[in-house]
Amino acid sequence: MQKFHVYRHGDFLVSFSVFVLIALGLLFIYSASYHSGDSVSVFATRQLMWASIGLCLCLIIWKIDYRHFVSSAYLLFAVNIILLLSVLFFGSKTLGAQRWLRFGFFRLQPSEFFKITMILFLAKYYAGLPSYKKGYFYCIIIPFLFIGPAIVLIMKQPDLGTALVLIPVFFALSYIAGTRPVDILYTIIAGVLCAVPGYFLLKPYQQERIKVFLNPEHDPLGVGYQSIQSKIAVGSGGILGKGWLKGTQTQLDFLPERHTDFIFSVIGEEWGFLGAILVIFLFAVLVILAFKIANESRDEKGKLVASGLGVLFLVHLFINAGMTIGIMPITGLPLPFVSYGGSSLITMLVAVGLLQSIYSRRFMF
Amino acid sequence: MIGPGLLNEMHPRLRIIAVLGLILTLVLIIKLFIIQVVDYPKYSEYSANNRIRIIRTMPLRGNIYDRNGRLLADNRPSYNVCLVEEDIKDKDKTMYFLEQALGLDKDYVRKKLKEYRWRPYTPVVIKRDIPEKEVAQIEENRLDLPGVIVERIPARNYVYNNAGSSIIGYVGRISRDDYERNKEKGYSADDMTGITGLEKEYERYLRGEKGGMQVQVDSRGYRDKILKSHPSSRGYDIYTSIDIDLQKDVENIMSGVKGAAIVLDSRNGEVLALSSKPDFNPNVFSGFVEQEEIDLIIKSKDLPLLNRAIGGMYPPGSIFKVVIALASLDRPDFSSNTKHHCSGSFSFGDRVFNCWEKRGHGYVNLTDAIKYSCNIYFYNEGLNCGADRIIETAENYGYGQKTGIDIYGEASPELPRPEWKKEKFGQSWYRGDTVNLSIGQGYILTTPLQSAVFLSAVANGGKVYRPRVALSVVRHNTGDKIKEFLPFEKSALPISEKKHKMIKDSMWRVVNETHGTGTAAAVPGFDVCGKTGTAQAGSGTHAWFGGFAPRDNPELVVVVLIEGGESGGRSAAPLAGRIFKSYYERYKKKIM
Repeated sequence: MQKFHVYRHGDFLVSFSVFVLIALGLLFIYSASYHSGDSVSVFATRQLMWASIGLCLCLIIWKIDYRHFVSSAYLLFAVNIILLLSVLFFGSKTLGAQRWLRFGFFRLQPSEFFKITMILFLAKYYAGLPSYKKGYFYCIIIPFLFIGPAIVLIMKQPDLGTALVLIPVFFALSYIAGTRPVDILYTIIAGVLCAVPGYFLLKPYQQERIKVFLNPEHDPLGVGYQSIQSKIAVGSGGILGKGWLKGTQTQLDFLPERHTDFIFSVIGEEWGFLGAILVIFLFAVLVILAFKIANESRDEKGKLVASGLGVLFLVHLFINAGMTIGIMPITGLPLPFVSYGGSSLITMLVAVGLLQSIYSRRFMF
Repeated sequence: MIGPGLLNEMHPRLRIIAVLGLILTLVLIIKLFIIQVVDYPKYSEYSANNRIRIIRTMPLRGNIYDRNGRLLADNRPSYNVCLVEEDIKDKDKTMYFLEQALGLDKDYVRKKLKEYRWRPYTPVVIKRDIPEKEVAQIEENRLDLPGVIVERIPARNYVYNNAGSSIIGYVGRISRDDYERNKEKGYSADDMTGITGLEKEYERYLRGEKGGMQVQVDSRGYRDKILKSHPSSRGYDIYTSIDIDLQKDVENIMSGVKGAAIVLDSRNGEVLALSSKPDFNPNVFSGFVEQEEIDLIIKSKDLPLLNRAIGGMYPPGSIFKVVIALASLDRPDFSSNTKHHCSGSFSFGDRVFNCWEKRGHGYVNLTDAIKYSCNIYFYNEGLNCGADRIIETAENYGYGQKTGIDIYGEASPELPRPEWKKEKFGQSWYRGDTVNLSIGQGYILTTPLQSAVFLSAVANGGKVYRPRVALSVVRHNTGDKIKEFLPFEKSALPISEKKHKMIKDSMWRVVNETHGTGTAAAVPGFDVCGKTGTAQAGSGTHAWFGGFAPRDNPELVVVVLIEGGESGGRSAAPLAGRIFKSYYERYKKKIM
């Protein structure tokens, strides 16, 4: 074990695509904040700092056997729930949402970390489930009793985007772990059926929020405006784009949240269809490799964690890129590795560390 | 690594999810292709002259009414001229027009445009609230003036101008700090908001909600097509306890002086009228004057924006003797028959304290002392009580704290105590300080409103009410009550029937007996009770009169303060008398 060079057995292509994505992120965070009056490169510099911290964490996690993380998943889950609760009570507010915990000079966003915590939790749970317990009760109800309250806490912040990511990840993991497809189908149908009468119990302003969430056009001055400006940005990029630092939508301040949630629009505008395809391609590579790692993993836990992370990347990409081009509702959700934001970048690099940790140990028995 | 065989080798369930993922990716790519390649010409044109603007529509602010449902504040239409720099075709021509028709200086317009250059395509307001004639002029030349827009927005209108301005307050452009604090609630940097008075206190009800339109504009910057719109919703109306007729009388009675007058209903704390002089016309601020003009009012030496009734701090003078009287009556060893001899002066330690009547009042008991406002009597009784008991009594009656009136800008000067003096001046409290305190002088400061609340508690037998102006918040269209403000008793002090009668009788004698200090406030048939005060402040004096009526079952409290007034009896009492009379004639005579 001492002689085993764990870093040599990782997947080079995973590391490579992640590096390229982070580099693209830095490039376009720079462009997005170029004109906005702030000192030129504050966001890019800070993102570089987060990336270095994230990479160190990634290497540390890579070195540690992923099974340790899976075994302590329940503890991690409990800690994360406590963090989420403290956000509710002592969290700091920005733009109407209460998502952050203040620790001295930096702010922590526990809902970001919960994405990984949930995957570890489910991996441990499903891997330990004996085959005679594969019924509805053990496969859906029990895990949902744990995951459900956490999702409610996250939605209360309100962080609808993260909640929206967690639900498909849960179903996908459950499916891969062997839950019968009909059980999943029933659950989804039941969820929809509950949501409809539940909607009428909400207060008018909450209903209003949901209407806007489902249909941005309902709020033409807020979210609806963002939606159309983002589409104009991407569409006007054409095939080759307007060039780096030359996007008019971006540089003239029409695009909101340019360096965070709408970074994909910036890339689409300045590097055009080719730039957007490049980002999607890099993510596709990452997702496929995560599934390959899952497939080659030596045990069930590794398989579940790796495939869960793959689904996490995929859903993130689809929701984030989808909202910038008008096929998904607008929610505050970052594009992994690319969007500005410390908690998100670090979480995603931890995910990469876990993937590599699983892959490096594929031959060990 | 990645090859076509990859999917085939996979565990079937992983494969299904992977295929699902590939489909989703494909959806993204197809949609991107549609937007970026197929629809490129359309979006490219959109972006080349970004024609989609958001135009905010301002909500109508809620109305304010008096107690009889008469309108005090509503909205009127006003017109602003805006420029969209990017839409201006001929800059020289436009500038020339603006100079000729609107009298706008070129440099001023350039400076204004420059401020907003970081926000392209945003209409920049260059002149506010222009007269209809100028609106017509712009509309006539509209075709030649691309980029010049007239925007119609509601402006606040105060029906009675100055009357009631110290209660209602005014709206003005939001301050930078306020904007930073409230931008999440939908304020923009250019919005109007309540700055003082009810307008500020009830901003969240009066404001309403902004609406807006997403519009496509034509090449002249005019609305071409409304893409989407969302109506604004008007603010809630507020019904108040003010009686505007009485308020106007009070303003007339007080005109020409510097000071304040307050009229309260002693039975429930409702404010019937409140005036602070000199005052201002709140319409000036909603007329969109430039900041410099507002500054002129703000920096005026007479401080018209200081609400003297609730925010001015003055020594209470002899009105405070009523506090000493109440404190003394609570002492077990006190007898109201005890007399003190007043020779006109009082030696204490190495100092001599005078009575205002240099010849002296001879032997006086409590009610005589109140009637004549004899200092010497209260020096003695003040010392018998001690500073702590005096301050405690004052505090029980609401001094030293905010009364809690719902008008923004209330002051609450701290009551002087031995510890307070030590902390503030580093000196110990001397008995001489207590002597001064006994006649409402020295370190003590109060607001006219605090004295009104105190006298209202004296009138009603010890109930300290929170003074109130707003009675209800009402939805404009339907008349539904959103909120109702009920009388609020902050504390109730037991005053025995006997003591209550004694204090009321003494104060009645002040006004209604010959040689009383407040006879000028008398209103035949209305049994006014009161107390005068002449407070030393620096080199001058402030004149006070505070009282209530009628003596049996009091309902009305009036406090008048005249800054620089020569004496309570001569300067303040006559004005208070006229206020009592106005009320009497409006409310009582008809009934009797």
